[in-house]
Amino acid sequence: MISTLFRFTWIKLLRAALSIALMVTCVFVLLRSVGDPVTIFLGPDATPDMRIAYARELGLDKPILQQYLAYAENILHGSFGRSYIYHRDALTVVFDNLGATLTLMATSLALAVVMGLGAGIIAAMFRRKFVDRLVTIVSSVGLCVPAFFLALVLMLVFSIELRLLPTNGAQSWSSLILPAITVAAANSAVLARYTRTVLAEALDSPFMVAARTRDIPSWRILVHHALPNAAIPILTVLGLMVGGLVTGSIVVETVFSWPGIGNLFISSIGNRDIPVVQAIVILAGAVMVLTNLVVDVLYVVVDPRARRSDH
Amino acid sequence: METLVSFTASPSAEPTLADMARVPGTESGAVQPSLLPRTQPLLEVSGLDVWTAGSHEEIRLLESISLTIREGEFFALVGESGSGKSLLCSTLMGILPTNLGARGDIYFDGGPLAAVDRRSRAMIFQQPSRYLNPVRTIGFQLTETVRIVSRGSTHEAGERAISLLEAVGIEDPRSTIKKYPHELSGGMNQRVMIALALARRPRLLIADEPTSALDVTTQRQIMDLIEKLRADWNMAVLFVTHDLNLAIERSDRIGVIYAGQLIEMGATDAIAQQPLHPYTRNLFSAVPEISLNKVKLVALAGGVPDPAIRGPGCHFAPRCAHAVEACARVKPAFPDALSHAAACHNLGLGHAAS
Repeated sequence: MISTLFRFTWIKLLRAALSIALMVTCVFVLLRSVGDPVTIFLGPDATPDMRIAYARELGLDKPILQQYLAYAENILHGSFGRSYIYHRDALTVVFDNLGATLTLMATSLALAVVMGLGAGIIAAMFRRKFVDRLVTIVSSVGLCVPAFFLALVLMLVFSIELRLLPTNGAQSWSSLILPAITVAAANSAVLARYTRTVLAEALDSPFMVAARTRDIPSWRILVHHALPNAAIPILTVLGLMVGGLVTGSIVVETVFSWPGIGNLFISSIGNRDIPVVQAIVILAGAVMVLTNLVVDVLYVVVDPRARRSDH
Repeated sequence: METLVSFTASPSAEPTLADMARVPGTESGAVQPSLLPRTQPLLEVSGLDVWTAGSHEEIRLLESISLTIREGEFFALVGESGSGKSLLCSTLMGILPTNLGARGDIYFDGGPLAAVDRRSRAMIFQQPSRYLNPVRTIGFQLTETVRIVSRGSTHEAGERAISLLEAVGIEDPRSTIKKYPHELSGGMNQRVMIALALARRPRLLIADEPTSALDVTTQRQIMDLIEKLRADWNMAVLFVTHDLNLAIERSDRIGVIYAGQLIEMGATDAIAQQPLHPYTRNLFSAVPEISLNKVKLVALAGGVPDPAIRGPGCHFAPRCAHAVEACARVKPAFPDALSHAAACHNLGLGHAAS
């Protein structure tokens, strides 16, 4: 089993590397097709000499293929170029803001997992009962309400009316509560519905009928039989969720002025700070690919049927 | 009021019974008086209805089923898909879906079924690999069941799991307990299911089409195993099947079920020699045979009627070539306490030929 796991991981790693390479190329093509940075920075009345000098400084005077190779080489060395605005290494700028985003992500993910899994399990156990309907209704609302709207409602209630929590910034842990709840709301709704569906399916499957004829107690059926089966599809959703949290928090970070990379991303786009935007997009993409890689490897741990080598 | 209808022979040109019931091994002619084991009744079902709520009135899926299974007996319940065979199994195991209701008397070993230790019954299923948890090892599922039946250390449970796998003829039990269901063949998985059933030391083994999903060779092995275990462990077997030949080959007694009604019941030899109910006789003529002569396979027109639109009478009447006027109106009575009986208004037909 160990050797197949090893080979399987290698193949998945190669695929992940390929995905990242493709993404890096796409970012290059896309960011160079949105407009000429020289015009944006120097304005329409710059002299041709200024334009040529500036383009040379940014390396924009070379043929596009050479630009691409230089760009790819730099990324391999971990260098995303200097920020046009902060005049520092773009990656350092991103890392300065990464901590705040990670704190927000971890908190909201923990909240989403606890609330979503919990509500989903309870709903699946009491299918078609009142609790199940309640979970369905609440999660529908959670799914439908857009994050920016929920953020404003929460601010209105808890910051302006009740004056319990701050509206923005990251001065203390209390600033974390509202953004974390906002991000967790939609994610826990997705997780609750998904958990309910896959767990109900597992609980209704033939081997549960067989387990019941053997008088296996219902807690054992849930913990030892249904949840391990439901874990396989739930892992997939969790993987996508973690990958999406990096980019999904952009709106919430902006609304709450949370000093994370989402906020940085928006301001960098406004400033046409291509190296920073590039670094954030590639980083977010890499997180997505890597979480999927981790999920793929976890599948093998959770599902014995995936342990065959034909993947 | 039930009307008894003509028992005289109908003059129609029916093929003789000997033609219809040509079953391997029973062609010698002489009818042996069935040598049933004169033992205590183990399971007694009387007047069992299983129903579900319809839009206007309740829809009956099983109608006044009455049958008795004696200790150590091999009882085969034969019927086609949708006849309610599996529903009866679920009722006996107490795993009926919550949207279904059951009423009637079921006695097990002299007491009401609900009051009897549930361990006295165990069930095996049609597609063993779907009825085993795919992400748990054979050993996990087996020791779990063993420990629910008898409290003991993990080690003892493990040893008992191994001896159970040996009992069902698994060659290498010590490596099998580490395997997952997908790593075993269908036949092996069915042996594991049987081992899971044996872990409960049941007095009645309910086998719901246990060999229908298996190939013919494996089917024979599993049937041999069930017969052997039945003797070794002194269990009665309720064997549910759609395969009439298999039932005749293996069972002591046969019950034939159609659209939720038990229509014929009797000793296997008696039914093989002389099926009474028109439906049972149709079942025989639908069995293909290997012959040099070209024989047309008889297929019955139509299908099992939808439970929601079944009439008050015999549900087979619309497809029956011998239906009389009363058939659609009045449900034929099932004569109790006979060694071989059928619920039919027009039984004279069958007797005429013999």
